[in-house]
Formats: sequence, C-alpha cells, structure tokens
Amino acid sequence: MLIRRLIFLFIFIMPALPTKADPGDILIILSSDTKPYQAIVKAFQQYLDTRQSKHSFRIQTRDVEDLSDKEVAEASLHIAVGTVATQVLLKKNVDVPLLSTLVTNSAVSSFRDKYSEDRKNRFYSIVLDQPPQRVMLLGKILLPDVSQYGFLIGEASKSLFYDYEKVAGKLKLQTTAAFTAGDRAIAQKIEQLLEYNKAIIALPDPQIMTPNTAKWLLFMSYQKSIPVIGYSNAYVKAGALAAVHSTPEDIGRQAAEWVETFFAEGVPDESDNFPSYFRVAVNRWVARSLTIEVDDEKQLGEKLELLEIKQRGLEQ
Amino acid sequence: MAHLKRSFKKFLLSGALAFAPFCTQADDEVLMTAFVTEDEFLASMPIVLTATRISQPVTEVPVSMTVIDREMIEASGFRDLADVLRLVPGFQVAHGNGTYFVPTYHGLVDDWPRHLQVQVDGRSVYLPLLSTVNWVHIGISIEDVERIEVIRGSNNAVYGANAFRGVVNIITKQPFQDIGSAVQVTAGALEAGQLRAGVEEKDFDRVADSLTSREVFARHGFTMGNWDFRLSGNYREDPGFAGVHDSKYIKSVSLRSTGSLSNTDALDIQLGYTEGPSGSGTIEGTMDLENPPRNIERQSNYQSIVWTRATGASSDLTARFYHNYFNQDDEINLGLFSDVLSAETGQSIAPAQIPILFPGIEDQDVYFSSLEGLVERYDAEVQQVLRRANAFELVWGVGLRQDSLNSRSMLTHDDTIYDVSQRIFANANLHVNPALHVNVGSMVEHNRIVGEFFSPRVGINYLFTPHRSVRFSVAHSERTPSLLEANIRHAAMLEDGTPLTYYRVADENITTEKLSSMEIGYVERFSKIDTTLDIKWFRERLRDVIFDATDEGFTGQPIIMEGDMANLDGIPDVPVVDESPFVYINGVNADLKGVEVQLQYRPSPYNFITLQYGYIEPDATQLRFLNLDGSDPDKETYRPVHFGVPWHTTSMLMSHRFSGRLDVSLGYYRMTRMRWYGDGDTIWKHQRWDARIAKRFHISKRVRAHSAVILQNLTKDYQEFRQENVFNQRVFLQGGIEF
Repeated sequence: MLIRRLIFLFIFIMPALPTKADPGDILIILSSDTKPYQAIVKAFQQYLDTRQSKHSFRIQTRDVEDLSDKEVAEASLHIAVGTVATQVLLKKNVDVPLLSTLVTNSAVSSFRDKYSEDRKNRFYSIVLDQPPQRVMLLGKILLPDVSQYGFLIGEASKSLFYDYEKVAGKLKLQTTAAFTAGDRAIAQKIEQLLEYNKAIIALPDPQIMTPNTAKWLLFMSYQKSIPVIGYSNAYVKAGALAAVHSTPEDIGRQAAEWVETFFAEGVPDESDNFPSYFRVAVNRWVARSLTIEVDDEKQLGEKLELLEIKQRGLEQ
Repeated sequence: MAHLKRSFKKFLLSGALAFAPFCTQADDEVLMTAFVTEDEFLASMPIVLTATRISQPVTEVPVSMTVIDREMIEASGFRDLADVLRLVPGFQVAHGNGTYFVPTYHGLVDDWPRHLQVQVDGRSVYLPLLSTVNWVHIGISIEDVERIEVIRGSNNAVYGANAFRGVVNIITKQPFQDIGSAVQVTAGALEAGQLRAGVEEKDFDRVADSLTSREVFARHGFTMGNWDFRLSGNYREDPGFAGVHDSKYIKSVSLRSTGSLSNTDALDIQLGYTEGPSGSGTIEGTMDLENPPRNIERQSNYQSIVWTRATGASSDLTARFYHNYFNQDDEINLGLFSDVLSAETGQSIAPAQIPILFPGIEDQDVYFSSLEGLVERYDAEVQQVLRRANAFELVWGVGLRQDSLNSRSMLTHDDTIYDVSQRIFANANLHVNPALHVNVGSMVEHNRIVGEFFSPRVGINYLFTPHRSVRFSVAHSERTPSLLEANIRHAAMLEDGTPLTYYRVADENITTEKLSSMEIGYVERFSKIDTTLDIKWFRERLRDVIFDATDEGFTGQPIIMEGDMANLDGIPDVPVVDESPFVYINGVNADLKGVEVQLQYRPSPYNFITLQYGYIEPDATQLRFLNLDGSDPDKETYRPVHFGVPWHTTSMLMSHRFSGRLDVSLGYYRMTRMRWYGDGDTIWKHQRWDARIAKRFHISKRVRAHSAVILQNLTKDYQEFRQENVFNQRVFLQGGIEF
C-alpha cells in the first residue's frame, strides 16, 4: 500500500477576499513535503499577508486515503502543487475548480487529454516551463551573433521543440534537432548537434535529460566552446551558460495573484499559463571562459523583460 | 553509517512516493514516460564544469599555450602522439628511430628529451630510468585522445620540475563519448614506392607485402548506473626505417571509468598495460659488439584514481593518486671474457689465462646493456581551486612522490634506489581591475638528490578588450637531475656483477638545471572572422643544462681494468674499451631569443586553417671534454651548439569538410638545419607535406563507418634525427566501424 504512504500537506486557507466566486476554503495539496513544495505555499501565504487579506488557515498532514470526498468537495478551490498532487485531485470526481502549480506544460497537456470533460473544463495551471520566446530572446541577448540553435529532443520534449521552431521563425533564428530515444548513441547525437550549431538549448525531458546525459551535453559542448542555455538554476550551476527560470517563490506569488483575480473577477486569462515572474541565472565562469560578455543577472532579467514586451508589441 | 541508512531509506521512500499514484494503472505508467514533470526542473545536477575543468579564456592565460583538439589530430593523419607536437610553434619532433620519439621545445636535445612534463589526464608519464618519456609506451591510443594542451615555456610553478621548458597535457575522451563499440584497422606502406609499384603491376601480393605497418584498434564503451566505462585495446606492428633495426610490436590495453558518487563528488579511475618488443642496435649492415641488433622487451602499466569534489564553478578539491611501472629487459651477452679480450686485442687469450691476468677472476661471460631497468613511480597530490568573481583565482596544492630505479647495468649493483620528493605550490591570478590581471605563482620542491629548490613566476595580463590582450611574464625554474642522471654508473660487467669499465657516469657535483625566462605575448581573438592570433616574444637563459661530456682524465674505472691491463704482456695500448667515459654533467649554457606565432582560422570544428611559426636565435655552448691535458689541439673543452636549435620551424594544417562528410586535409612541416645530439646528427633544412582524405558513412541507424587514406611526406625524402632515418613517402589506409 505504497499509496497510503503518500503524505499530503493540507492547507486550508479561508481568506476574506473580495470574491466574485463563492467564498470558501482553498484546499492546497502538495505532492511532497519537501522544500520547493513548501516554498510555494510560503510565498503564496506571504503574498496574501502583504495584501493584508483577512484570512486564516490550518495545516493538516494526512494520508491521501484519509482524504474524504466530502472534504474535497467542500473546498471552493483546489490548488495542486506538483504533478502527483494534480493527478490525485484530477481523479476526484468533484465539481471544484483546480489550479495546478509546479507542473509542466507537457504534463498539463497530457492531463487535459486524459481526464473527464467536467473536471477538464475547470482545470487551470501555472506551469514551470518558460515560454519558448523568452528563452530564445535570452539567447539573442547573450549570443547576438548566433542564429542557429541546436536541440536534443526526446519523446516528451518533441512537442515543446515544435513550439520553439515556431518562435524561432518569428525571431529569424534557425533550429536543428537531434532526436534520441535515450539510447546509447546519445553521445553521437550530441556530436552531430555540436557540428552544425553555435549554441544549444536544452529542453527538459525525463528520458534524455538524465543526470548522465545532461553531464554529457554540457561537457561536450564546452569542449567545442559551444554555450548551452539550460532550463534550471541547477543546470547553470552544473555548467550551462545561462537559464531563464522561475523559482517556487515566483510560482507561489503568481498563484496568489491568480487566486485574488479568481475570487474577484473570475478565471484569469487562460491563454497564458507561463510564469509571469522569472529570473536569469548565469554561470559567469563559463561565460568568461567562452569570452561571452554578460551583464549581471538582475540586469539581464530586466533586459529580457523589456525585450519580451517589445517583441509582443511587434507581434500585435 | 546510520545517516547513510536513513538517507537510503528516504531515497527509496521518496522514489516510491513519487511513482505511487502512477503505478496503480498500466496506462498511468505509459503516461509517466510521456511527459515532463517538475522533477526535471527541481533536480540538482552533478557539477560538470568544475573549477578545474573551466579554462581561462586565451586572453587571460598567463602563459603561451597551444591546444590541439580531436579534429586537428584526426586531420593531421598522425599515428603517434608525439608527432602531433609538430603543430606547436617552437617544437621540433623527430623519430629517434622507429621505436622512439625525440620531441623538444627550442631544440638542444639528445636521444632523451628531459625538459618536457608530459601528463595523461594529470598523470605524469616521465620515466626516471630514461630521464624522458617513452611515447610508444605511453599507454593510451591516439584514438582515445580528446585534445592536447601544450604550454610553451617553463611552467614549473604549476607542474613541477619536469615542466622545465614546457608541458604537454594529453586529455583523453570521457568514456561516455565512446559508448558503443568500435574497431579500426590501419595498414601502411612506409615505403610508398613499393606500394605504388605493386598497384601499377597489379601484383596484389606485392601490394600486401608493402603494407608493413599494421595496426588494429578496438574499443568498447558502456554505462552502468552513474558509471561510464571505456575499454580500449591496440596492437601495432611497424618495421621502422628501412635499413634500421627498429621494428616494434606493441600491444596495449587501457580502461577508464568515470562516475559520480554524488552531485558534488566524482571519481575517475584509469588502468593500462602495454608490452611488446622493439628493435634496437647497430644500423643494419654494420656491427657493433656492444650494440648488436636485438629486440628489447618492454612492459609498462599504470593505475590512477582521481577524486574530485566540486561545489560549483568557483571551487573544487581534487585528490589524485597514481602508480607507473616500466620495465625493459636488455642484456647483451658479449661472450666469454677471454673471447672479448681476444677480439679487442687481436691476440689469442685462453680462458685459463684470465685468472692469471686478473687475479681472483675466472673466465666468464661479459654482459652489456644500454636499455635495461625497472622504474616505478608513486605519486599523490591534493589540489584546490578557488575562484572569486572579479577578484582572484587561486590554485594550490601539495604532493608527495616516490621514484624507484633498479638497473644492474646502469647502476652496477642490484639494489633499488629511491628518491622521495615533496612539493607545495600555489598560483594566484589577481584581477586588479577588469583589464589588469596579475599572476603570481611558485612551487617549492624538495628531494633527496639536490635538497630544496624553488621555481617562482610573475606575470601580467592586460586586456584591452575581452578579446585582445598583452601578457608579460618572468619566471625562474629549476629542474632536478633524475634518479638516473644523479646515480648512473653504466658499465660492461662480468656475469658475477664485477664491472669491467664504465661507459657513462654521473658527476658527483651534479646540480639543478636553471632557466630564467621572460616573454611578452599578444593575443587577439577576431570573433567575427573566427580567427585567433597569438604572438610571443621570448628570451631564455639556460644554465647548467645536463648533457654528456667525455671525461678524458677519468680515474674511477674499476681496478680490474686499470691495474691489470699491464699484465697483458705484448699487447699494450689496446684497452678493452675506451677508458674515458661519458659524464652526465651540468655542461650546457644557452641564451635563446625569438618569436613564435600561431594563427587559427576556425569557422567550424571541421573547417580550419592553423599556422605555426617559430624563430629562435641561439647562443649556446656545450662542455665536451673534462680534464683535457691539451695534448690534442683538435679537442676543445667547449664547443658552440648554435645549430642545436633550428632557427626556423613552420607548420600548417588545413582541413575542409565537403558535403557527404568527406574530409580533406593538408599538413605542411618545415624545419631549418638542426644538430641533434647523443646518437643524432646534423639534419639539414627539410620540409614535408602530408594529406588525408577521409569519408564517413552511415551504414544503418546504429552503425557508422569511416575510411581514410593518409599520405605522409608527399615530396622528397628527408632524414629525421640521424642520417640513417630516411623518411620516405608513406601511405596509410584506414577503415573503421562503430556500432
């Protein structure tokens, strides 16, 4: 009964928010009681505190099996933190809106296809992935001379790559991809990528971005003086040139804003579930070694934000 | 331990928790692999580019450096690692014969280049027995090499005493780069004329006979959990130069395994074994009793383990331990002492006369060996790299080394001799401001041979832009004599171990070699045209360089020869051997100045042109004779060795990848007159053109193949190192498959 061991942290928040929806309990379920998951809740709470919202909450730890359908059904809103929590809540056949956080676009797409129509219609998300345009614009800032980007993709990242391809066209950049099923020829695929590209964008993929493959990609790219743009702070620390990423705190804040809007005005704009808050991480030593001039991370973040706004303006 | 158990339980639990909801239904399991979860974003990762691995940009490096990468190695068509150094400005490379190489930086070399530190993945391969590196027994295949980094000039401050005039860092590929299997076969005609004739006559037996150089390389790489493995094996047979007894048959196997113990800790384990006979001895057609044609059996092995703890790109700690073993068997039986004496004197000396002539000595076999001995090296080092953004980089460490040498013929006794040395080093690169970097470093070493010695260096890099800089550095380096140089007593010996006469001895007062150097460098990277230019002006002041001199007044020959020769009635003035041995002595002083230029145009890894040029102006003298009595006016105590250094050395390599993965490359190598010492000769100005045409194929999705034709010395024949080593046109045919 492994499933019985799954520990959830329940946080019932009863804010006295100006609501358009019916006021009620918010049920937050965490996939794990570890730091990043807790950080979302903390940021969520802090944001609401700073807004001086009158609310109270209580925290309970229970096995999922102990979670009664009644408790789930009584909440006004479910917030799932993480993929596991999202999936558990999606399986509950209740008519309560669900905001999923700390999930990826690829997981959200899979869930949308899979779960019942009723629940799907009230399933919202704030994903961890950055919009492809934001990542490619970071590339433009850091590597203005690079017009050709390589991608190592697998089954799970294939659709994400197509999104990048579309964006690249708009930004007048070219992309090439090496597809791998995570087999042993992965080093050869990386070699091929490095042969034809001046920079690499690493996409998250559980089958190919294992610690081993990530290590290989970083190592081989560096040997050819080819910078890698990663997707997480850890990737940058490991040796990528830079990444644009959102922390759990950023996601928590955005979730709190989403909740405010939800109760005040209804469901926020569903078309954009990407992180609103992001930051840029740079490996200064790698940048220096590759003689790439970089601003500090804060300035880079501001530059990226401005460029993103400008690009949106151009597109409209 | 309890903590580990708890961590393990936690790991199991978290894994179970993470997957629990997915394991309830089969379709959930399928789904699980089809999307990305937050784990990919939140997971920590092993530090790949550690502080040690991240190199400084060329504009900030405080020394002049040349990097030869995998593509250049392949494009060059060279089959031997030492050959690759022809692509380094200021380097001269020659085959001593077909079994050994003589690479040197700024000339002044005999058979045994002593002044280069050569490392394979951080493991020094210097042999205290030969006071040099045996490039054939280096223990790795050229196919496994990722790149070679050469520091041109003294760098004792970082690499220790053997980095006296340069450092060659050979970096092998990471095992994960070679996952899968590969087999490559190379067949070469060292005299292309024979191959050509066979082809023209359509005589395929002759074609096959002409392909006398054969090599098979096989490799298998695999992954197990967090560990990557590469097992490589190599067999090579090669007849060497025509008319020279220098064939070789070398087998080697090596294993490298790298793995992560955690996100911050990694291990790198390497093992290797090499063996095989190599020809040695008199040039064919001549006869020298003490150097007859023969095969020398050599075995070498190594074990190395490196642990790295990296906390990020700004600091890491490395602990390294390795062991090198090298043994060569060479025993020349000159025959019975009575026969040797008879042959040398032209008189018939009966065995029974030996005890009369040499009281206490029975007639017995006489042995001589010039290449016998066993050496081992154990080395441990701990190094830390610390970096602070816009402030400094510090590399410091301590090391302990034990060298041992056992060689009956070289030491005239059976005891193993040892040297234990300690070293401590620190190098700081201080960023005074973004444009000005000051580099200060030193190594202090202590050994039993000379005691303590000190090698400091100070340098300044001024960056006009991140892509353009000048550097200025001054350094003082000292190199300790090797165990052999300090202890040699090389003798012909009777079977019972009694020395007959010394051929080469060590100077009792031998001391460190000294080099004071100064260089000004200019580096510019033109990123828009993918070009890097590096110019270096240098001055070097070499003092007390160890070389051979002849001791005309040597009085230390064994009594048996000195005293009892007089008993040979009627055959005076015919010594069994020359009584004036060679002496390893601090006998060469040289002042060198010159310029080196390297230019690399590299729009892509497979399309490049590199140009290297070195100009050296030497002023050098060598002590040739000790204790000259002045009776022979043709003998001068000192001689100039101006041509021990070639004034001009040039090389060029260009490569282009055509569509269809067809690679064509062309190499050019030129050197002006140079005198090679020891067994070497003066070799006149020569040049050489090499070419390589290679094609890669995809046989299937998982099977790749390649083939290549390598042509060496397309124009006229030339000599290397000595007149007998005539380098003809050579052709190599290569085919390989990877799967």
